[in-house]
Amino acid sequence: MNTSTNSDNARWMNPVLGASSVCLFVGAWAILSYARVVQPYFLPTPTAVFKEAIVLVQREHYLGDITASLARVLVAFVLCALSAIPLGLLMGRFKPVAAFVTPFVVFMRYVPISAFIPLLILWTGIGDFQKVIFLWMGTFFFLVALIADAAASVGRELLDTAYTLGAQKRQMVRYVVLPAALPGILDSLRVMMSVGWTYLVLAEIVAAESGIGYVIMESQRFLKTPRVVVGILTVGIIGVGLDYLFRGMRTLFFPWTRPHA
Amino acid sequence: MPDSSTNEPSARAVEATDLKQIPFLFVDRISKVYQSRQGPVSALEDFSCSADVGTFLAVVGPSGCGKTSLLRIVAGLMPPTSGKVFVSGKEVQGPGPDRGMVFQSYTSFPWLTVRENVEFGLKLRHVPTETRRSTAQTLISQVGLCGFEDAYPDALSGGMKQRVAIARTLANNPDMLIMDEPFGALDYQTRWAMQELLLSVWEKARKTVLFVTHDIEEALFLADNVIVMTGSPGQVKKKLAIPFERPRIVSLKANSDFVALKSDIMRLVRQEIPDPMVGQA
Repeated sequence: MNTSTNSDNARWMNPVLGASSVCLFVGAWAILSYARVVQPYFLPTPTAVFKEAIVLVQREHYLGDITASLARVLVAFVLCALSAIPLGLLMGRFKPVAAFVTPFVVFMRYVPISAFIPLLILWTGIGDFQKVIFLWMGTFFFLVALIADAAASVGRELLDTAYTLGAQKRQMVRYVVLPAALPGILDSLRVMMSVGWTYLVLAEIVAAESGIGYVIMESQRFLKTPRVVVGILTVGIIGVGLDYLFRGMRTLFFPWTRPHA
Repeated sequence: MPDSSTNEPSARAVEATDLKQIPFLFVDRISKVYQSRQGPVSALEDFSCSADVGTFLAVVGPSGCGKTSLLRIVAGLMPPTSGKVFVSGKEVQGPGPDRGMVFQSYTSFPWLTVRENVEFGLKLRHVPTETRRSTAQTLISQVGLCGFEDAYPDALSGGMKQRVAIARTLANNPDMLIMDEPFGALDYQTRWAMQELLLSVWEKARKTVLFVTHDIEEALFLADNVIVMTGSPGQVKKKLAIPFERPRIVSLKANSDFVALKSDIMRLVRQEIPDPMVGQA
């Protein structure tokens, strides 16, 4: 269709625009810190942060922290996807299921998940298991609602068409609902991945012996501001990478859709 | 709504002799009442019609006269409140591949290519890939979509999407085609071309067609018989046999007999449209 010509023309501009916003940000940071507009304990210079990052990686097993955090997020994310996708599809397609599950799902979505940290520590200790459960709890109830919406929004015409082409009811999810909802599901997964990282740092700040959140918390306690910034940058950069990975998967797996923002 | 009508051995042996005599499509005194917040709304009332095998029946009528309800009932997508529909001697009890439907809205599955869309019904029934391929290819070329086999619907125009829908429906080799204003969303010239294309495909396949449209000219051009419906609740106002020879080409629309018949039907339909001037004072 012709409606996409504008964005086609601008496509080469996108990396340039993205890079320039990063430069603008780093530039402002450099000016504020090098010129000592802001004191170094509040805002370290880029050089200090870079040196600190090297120290962390070389002498303090920072890569181990990164791996620990990544593993927690990814395990929780896979569990969350495996549990939320089937339930969400059922909720979206079968009203009794939705009616049965919705009150609890909504309740859990509104309760601030950090309020569960004390309980979870009591129940499951402070190990990796507690982190994974916490992350799962923090993302599952959002993801299930997003997937239910994606499944419910499959147009009635498509279902009717499939019926008149001879589809049996049991074939509907596999041949119509799932393929129609998959791009929306992948978008929801992408969003929930970012939420997962938010909760990860929260979980590691409260109680942990490793992980990026733990490094941030320890550094704040000893006023090692550059390390705090290293931690923040690490999460952000991993996040950007994962986001691009998800976008790439969308164009790879669903060549028939146009990507959303 | 699984189709249970096919695996029902003649449970009504008594009626069996009667069923052999009924027309191929037999809509027997159906009514449809919807429950709305304002109370029951009657969409169809005591509506009957029939079509012989291989004929083209068009239904015209004012907006909201229950045309779409009629089609959905014949397709088995919803049950009538009362009355019955028989296709090929069997009572309709749910949707099935023996009655293919083409909708007004574009219903190509966006995640499937043109070829995969056309093969969809065959794939549901696990028809072997090679058979699927060749059936699809024949139909794709019949509707003039050669070269677009691997395109996704998003890249197609409205007319092309409807051609996919027609080919996809025919791939199932249905007993009849049910078409709900399939060209209603297309521009005027595309509509002409699609009408000719539909006729050319129909001449080959000779399926029984039940075709609903707003467009009186379209109904006249395509059909063997035209039913004019009353306003809501829909009833049969008049049934006309359309005498024009086949194959028909677009120039028929300028023929004086055609124009005269068209204006007769327009008058009939006009009587069923509430006067817009009434109630404006």
